[in-house]
Amino acid sequence: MRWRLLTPVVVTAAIMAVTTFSHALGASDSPTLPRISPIGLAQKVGKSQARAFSGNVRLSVDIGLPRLPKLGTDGGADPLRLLSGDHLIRVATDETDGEKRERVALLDTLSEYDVVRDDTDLWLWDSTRQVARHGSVDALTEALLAFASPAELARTFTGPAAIETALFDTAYSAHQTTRVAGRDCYVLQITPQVQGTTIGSVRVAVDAATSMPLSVAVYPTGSSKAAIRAEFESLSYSVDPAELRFTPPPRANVVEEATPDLPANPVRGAGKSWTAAVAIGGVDPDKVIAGLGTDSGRQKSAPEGAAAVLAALAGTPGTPLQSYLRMMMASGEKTPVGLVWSSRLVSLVFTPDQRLYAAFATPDALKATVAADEASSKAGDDAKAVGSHS
Amino acid sequence: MRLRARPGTTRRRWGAIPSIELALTFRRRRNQLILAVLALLPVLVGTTIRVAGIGAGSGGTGMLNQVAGNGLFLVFASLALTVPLFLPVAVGAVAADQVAGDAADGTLRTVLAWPVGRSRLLAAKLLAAVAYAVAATFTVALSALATGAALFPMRDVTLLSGATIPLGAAFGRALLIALVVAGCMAGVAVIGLMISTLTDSPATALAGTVGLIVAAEIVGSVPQLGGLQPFLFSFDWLAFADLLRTPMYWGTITHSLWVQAAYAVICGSLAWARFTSRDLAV
Repeated sequence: MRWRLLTPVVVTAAIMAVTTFSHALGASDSPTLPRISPIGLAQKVGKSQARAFSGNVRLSVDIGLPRLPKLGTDGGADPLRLLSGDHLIRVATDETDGEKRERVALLDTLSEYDVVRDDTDLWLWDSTRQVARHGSVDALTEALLAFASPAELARTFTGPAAIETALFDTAYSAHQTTRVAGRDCYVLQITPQVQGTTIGSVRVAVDAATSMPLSVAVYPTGSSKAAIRAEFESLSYSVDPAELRFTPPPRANVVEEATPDLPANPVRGAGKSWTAAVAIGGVDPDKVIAGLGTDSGRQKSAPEGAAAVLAALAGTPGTPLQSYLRMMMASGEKTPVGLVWSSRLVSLVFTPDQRLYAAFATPDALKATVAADEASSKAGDDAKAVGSHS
Repeated sequence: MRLRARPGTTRRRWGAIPSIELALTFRRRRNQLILAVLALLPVLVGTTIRVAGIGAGSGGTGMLNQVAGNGLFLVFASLALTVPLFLPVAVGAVAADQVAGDAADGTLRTVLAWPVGRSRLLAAKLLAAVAYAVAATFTVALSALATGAALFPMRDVTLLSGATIPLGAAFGRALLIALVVAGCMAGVAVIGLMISTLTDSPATALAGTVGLIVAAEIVGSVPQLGGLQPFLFSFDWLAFADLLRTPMYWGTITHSLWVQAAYAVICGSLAWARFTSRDLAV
């Protein structure tokens, strides 16, 4: 009865065929939608009607940084892990009554990191360390929050300001359609036409009914593999109000954050068009790295004996991440304008006066932007040195 | 043959072989010992936490840290500690013995002389292995529950998302989690049984099964092999914690259970093809 040995082969082939077929079916799913002009579509995105939504986002980041190893419970969910790898993020937003309320949760193995915002009130919840930090929304948090959701991320590339500054340097097309999280979408393809940018193209899937961007993929120049891809896996245009409320759980460590000692407006733009940089002032890398993974304001005694073994089993907070960041700091290239890092998508310059510039530009283009920005801020004294922010 | 002596009682005949296999599996001294060791692990962890006084803010992170504040967390923490290695190795070891063990001590030939088809015999062995996987999971969970209730306060549970749910609802989630873990372990049992049909030596079957589990875990922990990871049977074992969020996230768990099902169908068919066609005229 040798033929029986063929059964597992046939079964394996059938399973592989079914999975491949269902994947291919999902990928080639392009609904028929009324035609729309690319610029019309880009402008629609800026006027999205969706005031409330909740859903799960798959974010995958591969901007050329070394990947952090995923070791059991090591460190737990941490926003800094978003710098590389694949992540699952839960997003819920409601601004129907004028106030912006939202929750962005990073779902990691056995842990979760939540950012809950109620207008200007901000809670940061770290399930690994059972710490709830309470503070107020500043410009820096606002900028970081914008990274997590495709809708917000897409506005970086398609928002009114972006269209104004990049209109003449950019080719738009809207020939394709797709389906994201079960909803019919237009695909807006944006191709920069300037020298010095690392962005080859950006593809945004826009919900045909609500104009909300449901997927963003950023492709570096000359690459068919996305460096950043954020896409809704599931989406509903409603929010459970309970999800947007946060009360620190009993027995959690509640830390009242002092308003951070930052300049009034630490985040600003420099330069223009696709090579425009974001500048953050007053960044002290040593302080930032040392502050990771420690419960501020609480002195801890080192566990001993069996407790130490169990603590080691449970993971020492932040250590791999800290050494990773220290390694990154040490690997910067020293140039006249400051330390320079570059990857396939992003270039960073850290100036001696503790300003951090980041841009989707080649290192040379960014160094030129930084030099021009410093010259103009010296010449124009304080408030005049405003570049267009994209 | 008693089985043949009563041709009229078909229900009894259908139930006979599975119950014999179940009894053989659960009465074997070695298998009982494995369950005892699994039951001891949460007791050990709980006692250490109690004695050493690990609690919030004492330096550790993760679920272990919450056990001192809430005994129910010992269930989640114990499963999180045993799922990566202890539990699958225990389940795999027992499953790997199902056929190879019988072949080695000569009972397989006796069993095959029964008036029962080989397919039904294999199905009975599969049932016993899967039942053992479920029993092993619930042994860990129930022992952890008992230890947690005895040593620590039981109260409302703070979920990973920071929301707090009443103890009753938390029991429901603990049961769901145990069922999800049991499903994953049932997948390991089928893989172990498949390897067991390939060899006559229990030691080889055991080494093969444990080796496969460890290899899958290693591939799962190397970031550069990310492309393979969604297809590993072991990769999403810890996804059960997604049930401790608000709202519960089922995506990864569903994917994980589909992967287990695919492995089970492939390994099950392989085991069937091998077991029904192999020459046992030793």
